Amino acid sequence: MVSSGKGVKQSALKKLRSALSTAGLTGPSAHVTKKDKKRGVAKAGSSKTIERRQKLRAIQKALNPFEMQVNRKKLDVLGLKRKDEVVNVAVARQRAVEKRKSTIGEERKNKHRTGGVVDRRIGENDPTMDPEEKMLRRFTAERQKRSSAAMYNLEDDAGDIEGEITSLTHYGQSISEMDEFNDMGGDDDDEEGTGAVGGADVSTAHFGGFEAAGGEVEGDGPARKKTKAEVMQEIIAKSKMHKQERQLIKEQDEDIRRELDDDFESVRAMLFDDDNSKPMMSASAGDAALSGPTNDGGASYDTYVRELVYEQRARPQDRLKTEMEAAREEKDRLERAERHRQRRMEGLPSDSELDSDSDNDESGKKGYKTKAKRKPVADDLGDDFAQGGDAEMENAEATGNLGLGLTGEESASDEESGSGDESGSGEDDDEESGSGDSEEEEDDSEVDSDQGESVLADSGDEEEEKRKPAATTSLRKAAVAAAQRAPSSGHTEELPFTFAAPANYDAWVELVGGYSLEQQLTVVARLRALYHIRLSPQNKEKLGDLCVVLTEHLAVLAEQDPPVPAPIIDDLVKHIGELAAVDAERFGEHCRQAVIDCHRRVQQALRAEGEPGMRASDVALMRLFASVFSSSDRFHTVITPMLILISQYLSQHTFATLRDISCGLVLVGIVHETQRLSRRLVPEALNFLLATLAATACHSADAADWDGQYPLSRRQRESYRLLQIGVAEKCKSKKALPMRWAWLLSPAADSPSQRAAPSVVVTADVKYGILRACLQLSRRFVDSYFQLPAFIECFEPLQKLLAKISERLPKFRLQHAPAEVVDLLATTRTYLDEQLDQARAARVPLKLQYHKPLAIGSFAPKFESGYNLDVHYDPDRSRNEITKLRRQVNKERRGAVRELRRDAQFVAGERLKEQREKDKSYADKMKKAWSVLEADQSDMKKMDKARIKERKAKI
Amino acid sequence: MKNEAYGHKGNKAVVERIIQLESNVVSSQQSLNDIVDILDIAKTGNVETMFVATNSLGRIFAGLWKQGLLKRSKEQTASGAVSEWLRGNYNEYLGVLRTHLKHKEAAIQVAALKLLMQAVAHEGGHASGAAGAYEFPNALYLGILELILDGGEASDHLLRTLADSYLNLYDDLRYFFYRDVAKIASPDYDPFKRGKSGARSQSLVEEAESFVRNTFAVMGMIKVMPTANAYTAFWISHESGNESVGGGAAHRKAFSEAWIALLRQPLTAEIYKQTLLTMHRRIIPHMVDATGLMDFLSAAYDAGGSISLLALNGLFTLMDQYNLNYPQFYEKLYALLDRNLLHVKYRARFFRLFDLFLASPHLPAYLVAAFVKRLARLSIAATPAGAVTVIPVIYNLLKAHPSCMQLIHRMPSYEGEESVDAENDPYLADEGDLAKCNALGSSLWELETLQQHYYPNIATLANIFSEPFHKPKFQLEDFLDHTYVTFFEGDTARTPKKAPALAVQPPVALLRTGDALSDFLVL
Repeated sequence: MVSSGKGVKQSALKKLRSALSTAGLTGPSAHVTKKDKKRGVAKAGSSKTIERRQKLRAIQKALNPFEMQVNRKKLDVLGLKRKDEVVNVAVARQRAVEKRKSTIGEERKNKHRTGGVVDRRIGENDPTMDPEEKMLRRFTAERQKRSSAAMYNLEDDAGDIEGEITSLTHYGQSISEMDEFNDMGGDDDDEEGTGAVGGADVSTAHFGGFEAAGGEVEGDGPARKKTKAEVMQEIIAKSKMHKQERQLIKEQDEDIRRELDDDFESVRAMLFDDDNSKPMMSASAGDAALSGPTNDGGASYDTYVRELVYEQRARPQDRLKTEMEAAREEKDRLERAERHRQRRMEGLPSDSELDSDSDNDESGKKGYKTKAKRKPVADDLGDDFAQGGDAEMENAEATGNLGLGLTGEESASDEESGSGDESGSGEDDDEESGSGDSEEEEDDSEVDSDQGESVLADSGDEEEEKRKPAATTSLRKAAVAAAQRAPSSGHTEELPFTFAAPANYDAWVELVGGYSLEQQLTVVARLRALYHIRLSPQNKEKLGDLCVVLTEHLAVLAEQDPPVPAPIIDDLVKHIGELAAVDAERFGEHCRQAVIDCHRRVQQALRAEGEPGMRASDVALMRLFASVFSSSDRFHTVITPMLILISQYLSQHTFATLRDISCGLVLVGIVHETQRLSRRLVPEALNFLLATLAATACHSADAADWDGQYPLSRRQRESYRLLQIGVAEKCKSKKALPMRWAWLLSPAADSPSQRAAPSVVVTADVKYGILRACLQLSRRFVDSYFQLPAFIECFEPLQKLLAKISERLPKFRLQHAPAEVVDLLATTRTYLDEQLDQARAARVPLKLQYHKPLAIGSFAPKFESGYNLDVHYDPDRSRNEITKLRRQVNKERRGAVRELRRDAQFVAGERLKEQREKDKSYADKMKKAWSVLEADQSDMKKMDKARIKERKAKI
Repeated sequence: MKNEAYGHKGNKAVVERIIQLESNVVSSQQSLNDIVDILDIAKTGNVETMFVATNSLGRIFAGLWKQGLLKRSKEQTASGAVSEWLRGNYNEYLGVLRTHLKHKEAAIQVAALKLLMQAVAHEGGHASGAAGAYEFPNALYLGILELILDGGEASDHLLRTLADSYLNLYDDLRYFFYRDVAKIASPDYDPFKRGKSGARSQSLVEEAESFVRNTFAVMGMIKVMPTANAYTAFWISHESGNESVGGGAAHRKAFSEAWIALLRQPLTAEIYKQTLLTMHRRIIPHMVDATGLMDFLSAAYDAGGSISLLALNGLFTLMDQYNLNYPQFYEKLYALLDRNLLHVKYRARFFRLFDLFLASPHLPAYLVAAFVKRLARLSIAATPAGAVTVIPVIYNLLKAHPSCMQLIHRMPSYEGEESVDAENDPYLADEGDLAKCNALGSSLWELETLQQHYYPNIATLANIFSEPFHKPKFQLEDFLDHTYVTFFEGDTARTPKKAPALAVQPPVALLRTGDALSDFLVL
């Protein structure tokens, strides 16, 4: 590059030269004498080179302003330093080339090479490094490696703390490392045979000659120096002693091993006692393992060991919880359940996700919701099959009695087992006995699996069975009736302890057909213990079946004519309540079908009258559903249809008999129970209650007498005539009869003789009983519905009705009415009056349309004060994000393409260079050859000329 | 005839004899006396022989009509004497058939009806002097109808045959049927058996009841309604063009008179309801002057209960199309909203009309408010099906009458009045006068209560009153036809996917301690 101009515009070469000279880099350099060198000018020289380099760099920079690229700043951020404000393009290019050379270039060089030696010595390939520097680096690297290795070495942490001084070396390696070597080589069985001396002795004695060790020994004490013979004797004695010790230990080990072998039989029997609990172990394998050792030790032992590999290992268990923790967990569980219930009551989904959000604390771990969410792991033994809290199940077990048989008979059974042992002791010696047992076990397992299959097969049949329940009920009834008649005493001893789980009601009837009701409960308790959910995964299904069977049993028991005693029913309900959680889905479906079934019957009865649609069993089941299910839910697959059914019955059925009316009142009670927490309005229940209440005081013929807003047709009015308390009627017993379950029973055709007379005859006692029940129910409903906005409208009719009744009761000669009822009437009245007054006082006009005012939409145009073309003003955030990302991707792609192109250029350049070198070397080679040949040629020509000359000369 | 079908030996012989006699009569005029024998059998025989005998007589007399032997003649000739004698026998035959109409066997009744109607056809076709002239033998027809309709013996089969085979097919029969019904039902109709004793005996009252029942049944079965077109189908054969029956107008008149006469009779409750149910569709449109029904409908409307609900439809048709002016209509309508309204079967019908009655935007606010308040009051004692109807009705009313919004939203300073005395609900539930019941000053707490209804769908639906009134009008039709059964089936149609939620605490006994049932129930 030669610049044409003079003066200011110089050529680049001139500029460089002048710059170098002004920097003092060229020209006469300071002479460095040998003397100086010795003094250490060389040291200064290294600093001088750095200086030199810096100066050169500055000159380079200043020389060509076109090589400098200035990057424009978009935003000036105060205090922010950017690397790329000014970039030297040439340098950057150079750097890129260098980098390529070291990466792609190296790769190219080693392209077709497979193997070779890589020199990893530090600084070996770096020509800039001084040898001294190199050594220093290597040394520090070595030190670092050591220290990092020693960091986890427990044995010589002392050495780490105190540094190198304490760690002794031998041939450059520390003594401690040599100890390791000894340990490695010291194998006891080898030593035993060879009789070599102990490693410790060797280390002390054999290295005694070294100075350092020797010095230490000498420095230890003033003890006299032992003679060599003494030392040798000592050593021999010591080694002998060690040898003896080793032999002793070995013998002891041998003894223990033999003992263990002897005991192994019994231990193994314990290990493989029950096949059920260890699904991993196949029955045949267990069999082989049991019979194996007696036949041949070695082979079976091997197989056994192999099996043990797959045996379940013991897992760490959760520690037992303290009482307080358990109590807190129970409290948390209840609180959470209550929270879920509240949500369901409001009609919101009570999902477990919400749950886990709110209960991230450790209490959430135990909740069955989270438990249910956990995926099954291969290690699971099936503990997780019980969805309902395990605690419940366990509590139930703790409190639920397993029956008289178990506790009372334990001693007897002990004796029995003792005698059994005696008889069996002779057989124990036989080899056969073991295999016989195993066979039995096999049989058992077969039976189990058969049952499982049958249950599966039955599930298909059950649906068919459901469709024809009416046909089978009579059979069942007969069976259970027979059961009830069976003598309850004297049978207790005969109850077996194990039963097959009943898969359906017929199987249940077969199972308990001969037992009394108390015994049936014992059977249930034992069944629950036998098929506890923890014992086998199949038990979930069995217990689900049992729960359904018990529900059906409850329905049958509720129909029994002399009603079944309450404790038995209660016990049964308790069992059902606890079992319901095992397979809630199955139980729920059964209950739903029961409700649908009942609805069908009620529909038929409404169409063709005369048939009692609602049976006592239905009422009992509904009462059960109301307490088993979460009846406060806004929508519930069992409770909501049930409420619809009850409401339809209450509002459409013509209540003509005492049975109907008492049935209706019980249904109202059930409705109240379902609305105990949710307090939702059930108009039909209130209507029925008011109509029944009115029936006791109003004349059936006088329509004007029945004022109120509860709907009432003439037919209904007529049918209620039954309850009207006449003027002359006298309550004989001076007491209102409580309602009895027997009143609900429909007059059964099959047992007319057993029908008790009082349920047919409606005496004044009964009427007052109904009146009392109505009053009690009304009071309950007043309590429930007090919060309703229309409480006044709902209960003013009741107020009027109560006023009328209390006005008329004196007419019926108050002395005829039981005092209890009169009191109840008075208290109910005053209570209702108070509540109504309160409600009136608290009443405010509705403000249902009080909504938050909505902001008015603005239509002002959008204006950006500092508009910038580069900024995206897209109001759509997501679209903005996408464009940003797209820009980034494009940028990256362009960068990548550029890099690749540069790489290709570099590779091409390299290839060209190589080609040139090759060409050059070839040209050189040819040149050489030519020159040799030419020289030869010229020599030959010279010789020819000379020969010619000679010839001429001769001639 | 299928004589072989009669297996009985005695019957067989008699049947053979009848056939023999019939062939005798048909073959020669000399043996006309055999008719008397057949008549004897028809009178005294058992069911089968009676059937055969009457049928054979029917054929004989049909032949005689064709021969013209039964025509009445003034001449005192031998042939005149023969025809006179034959007429005597013919009348006797008709008498036998009449008694058969009251026979307990439905088949005999139907057979007798068929023969009698044939007789009517023959008499009409041949009795008249001029050939091809139209003359309806109404005396005979009236007698037949009276026998059929008046007694309690007429079987359903007989009535159906009368309607389907004759009245629905032949215009002249139908026309005379209407006329005769009006005649029979009119109070001054004096058949020989009635009116002799001044007071009606018990049997006569029963007879009147059965008359109404039968007539109503037959009229219900008549599917062809009078139109303006001329008649086309005639039972009496004649040459077309010279009918004396009259066209559609006459028919309509006969129809109207028949109905009005029928409705004057004492009706049983069921027939009353049936009539009212079908009145606006099947009676009113075909009447000449529908205002004749006004008295009947007003009486029904005033009767109260479900009868009133049913009368509403007919009444509305009259008001809508016949300019009937009904005073105090809205008061009466208000009175219809009684405690049974939301429980009766016909509430869907009622609410369709109710929607129509209150559709006018010109109704005063106090009136709409009164209806709304009364409906809301009823809804808290209603069935779910009733409540589900009431909510959209009220919503539509509030939407159409924004001045009634204060029923669900009242700020203290609403319309500048002093704070409402909330403790005393100003609404007077027992006040029948719409203007005086003060509904506008009240609030619909009942609707807020429905938001806590036990049936979740109703609770959800009731929540619309708490939301901004952005919804367009509800289509009432979607809410009218619900019942308990539809709700139940809707809830149980799908099998649930999730297990039902169980109670927090499992039960330990059938009756919880503290349960309402445990107060009074002993297991």
